[in-house]
Amino acid sequence: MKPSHSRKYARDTMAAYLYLAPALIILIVFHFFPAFYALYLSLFDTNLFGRWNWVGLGNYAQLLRDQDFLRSLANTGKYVLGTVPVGMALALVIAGLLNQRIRGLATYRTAFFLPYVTPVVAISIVWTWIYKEDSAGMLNAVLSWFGIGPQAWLLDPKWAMFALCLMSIWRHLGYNVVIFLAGLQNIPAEYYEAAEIDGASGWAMFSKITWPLLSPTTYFITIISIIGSFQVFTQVYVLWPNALGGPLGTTRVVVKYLYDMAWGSYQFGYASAIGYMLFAIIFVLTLIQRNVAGRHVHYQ
Amino acid sequence: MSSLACVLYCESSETTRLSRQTTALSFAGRSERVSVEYEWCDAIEKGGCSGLLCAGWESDLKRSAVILLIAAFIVTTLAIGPTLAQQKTTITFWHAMGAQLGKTIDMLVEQFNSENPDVFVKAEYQGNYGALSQKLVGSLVARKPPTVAQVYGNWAAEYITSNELVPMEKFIKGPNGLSSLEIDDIWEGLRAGCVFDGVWYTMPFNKSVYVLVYNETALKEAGIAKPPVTWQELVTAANALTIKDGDKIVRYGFGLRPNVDYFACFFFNAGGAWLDAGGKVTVNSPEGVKALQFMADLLSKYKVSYYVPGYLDADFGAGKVAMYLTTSPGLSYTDQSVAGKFEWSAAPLPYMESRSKSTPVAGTDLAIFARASEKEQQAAWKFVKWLVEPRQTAKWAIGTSYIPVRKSAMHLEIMKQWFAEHSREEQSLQQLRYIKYDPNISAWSNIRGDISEAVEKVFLGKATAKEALDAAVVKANARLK
Repeated sequence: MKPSHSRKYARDTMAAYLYLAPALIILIVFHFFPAFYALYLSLFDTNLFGRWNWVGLGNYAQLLRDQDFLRSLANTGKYVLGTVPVGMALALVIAGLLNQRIRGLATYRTAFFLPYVTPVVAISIVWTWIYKEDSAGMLNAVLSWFGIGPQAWLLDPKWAMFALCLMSIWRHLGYNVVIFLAGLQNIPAEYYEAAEIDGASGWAMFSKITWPLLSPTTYFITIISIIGSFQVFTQVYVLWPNALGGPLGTTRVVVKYLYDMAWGSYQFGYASAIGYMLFAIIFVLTLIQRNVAGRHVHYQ
Repeated sequence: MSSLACVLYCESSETTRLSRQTTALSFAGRSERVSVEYEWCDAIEKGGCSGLLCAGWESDLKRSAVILLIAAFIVTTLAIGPTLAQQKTTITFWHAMGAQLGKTIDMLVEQFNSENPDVFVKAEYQGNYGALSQKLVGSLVARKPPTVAQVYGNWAAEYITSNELVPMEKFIKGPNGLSSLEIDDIWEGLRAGCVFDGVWYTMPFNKSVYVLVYNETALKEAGIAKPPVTWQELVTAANALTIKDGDKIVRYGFGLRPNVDYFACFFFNAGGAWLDAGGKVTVNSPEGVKALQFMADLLSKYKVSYYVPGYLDADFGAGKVAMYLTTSPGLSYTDQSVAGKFEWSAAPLPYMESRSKSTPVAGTDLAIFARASEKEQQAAWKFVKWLVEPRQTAKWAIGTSYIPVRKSAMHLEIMKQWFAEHSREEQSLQQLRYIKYDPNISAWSNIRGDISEAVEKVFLGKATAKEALDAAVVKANARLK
């Protein structure tokens, strides 16, 4: 390499880092450093400003015995199962409908996407009105047309998780629809034309063409949705402003429990351990998906 | 007792007259300054200022004049700045009082600053209590806490375990402290809530007690002359106020909330206490069971009540419920909801037996942080002491509907006049001798959750009062370790 060339190379590298710097600094300061710092914190019993007792893996050991934590984990599991499959199926159907040559496609797409770009807090406040327990609640008013009596959506432990899932599905629907729609539009039209000439049925076309060719998109949405669902917090925080999160704690999810431990009782070490436990669970689940579901993904 | 009141009264009535003048002046000063500021902002928005600057660059003469001016300004600031700073001690005061409450704080702080040229208090609104708590933790981690802040008892308990607070006691007993007369003048119930392990750490500030709000028009229509005083009367009144349309209940007699605060309103009035002598949570005492059972009975036995997770003022204003419980500052929300649609008023909390008459107290206290320098701490104490002087606590009460923390404040002319016009707020004063407060332990906020869960369980019919409270006690005491 000629000296002048290497000097140019160094200069280019410098320039590249310079351009990367703003994003890199933000990532390091607000993402990487806190993430590793939390790992460090999780080894202490600490309120961050005075109490610093080294407990090693004690927080993790305690977590496994903590009934409240295990319950919050179970609640989160229910939430994931309640939102991801239904949410994805609905999104696929709607994306399929929008994939037809219909008028005003952009309008529909915007309408479905709107909840996703609206702040969760604002959405949650609106939904507290929808879910109001008496006949003044919008959902109850609609149900009364069909002769169904008012339900205490947010107060009844039977309904609280359902209410949370319903709202979250609605909010995430638009995002999933748009991604699915992009996936559908990526599938070349020739395949369908060929199948039509061969006289394939609608179902055969879906199961033999659409579903396999959509698999990278489906795979992506599954992973993103599961990770997102495990991290649910804001809705719970706004819909149930009391200490427990939901009637009898039925919607107290892991992150809400983490928040309560940190800010409610100054147990920042314990809260960090909860964070890492959640990370471990998500990590393992993602690995499993990669190895099991990933094998069935067809890239064109 | 009456002679003490008289002495304090005479002393304060004179100071009141003085203070009135200063307030009037400071008000005038404030509005003037504000309007000037607004004009200045307007000028910037309209591009007026940039226009002026541009004009300045047109001639060299003007340009050098501007530079000279700026230079002169910098030199003088550098020269005078430090000397000014030496004379004045600046302290920061973090609070969570928005809207009208915040305005009242600003008014008081401004008055303090104008009366005390040696101290400058910077009052900083931090958002709601949740935000204040988080920012306080952040500031403690960064080792830059404010000098003074509003704190809840359980926050203070945590700060104290890490030696982050200076005991108020140090200043109260100090040279510029409080006399025993002045100490006695602070309501015992409020003072007791500021003591941690026998040491007086904080100063009661924005305190409120619970009252029973009732729809006076509805009560009259039901033929009931006065609001319920006992639980028995509460059931009778709630029953008379409940309106049914077939199976459907159009209006409930009494509104409940499934939380620890509502439970406390009944628990204390049944004679209960949160902790036993050994510091263990004893909410499953016979009193606790009676209180929770009574709440459950209102719901499912007498069928005169319902419960909501949020606030009840909107439902009360809409005529869906005829009675509920709230704190004195909450009365302004009630007034907004009712908006003159019917007559309403407030009364002390109903009790089970007259000897167990009591009320929970809500709100925060003031704390002085240990990281501040000795000089700043003294300045902070001066401010705290001034804030709870009768005339200031009276102004605070008038501006916010919190209770005046000093007994003698009630004898001030402004206070008397205000209560004459605000009979509802006056009702909370009837209860000041019966205050009970939450334990000052840092685990309390989670224990509150345990008790709330017990209340919810019983409301939902998932457990009996005894079972639910037993479970809560096991959980709560495990948190105490």
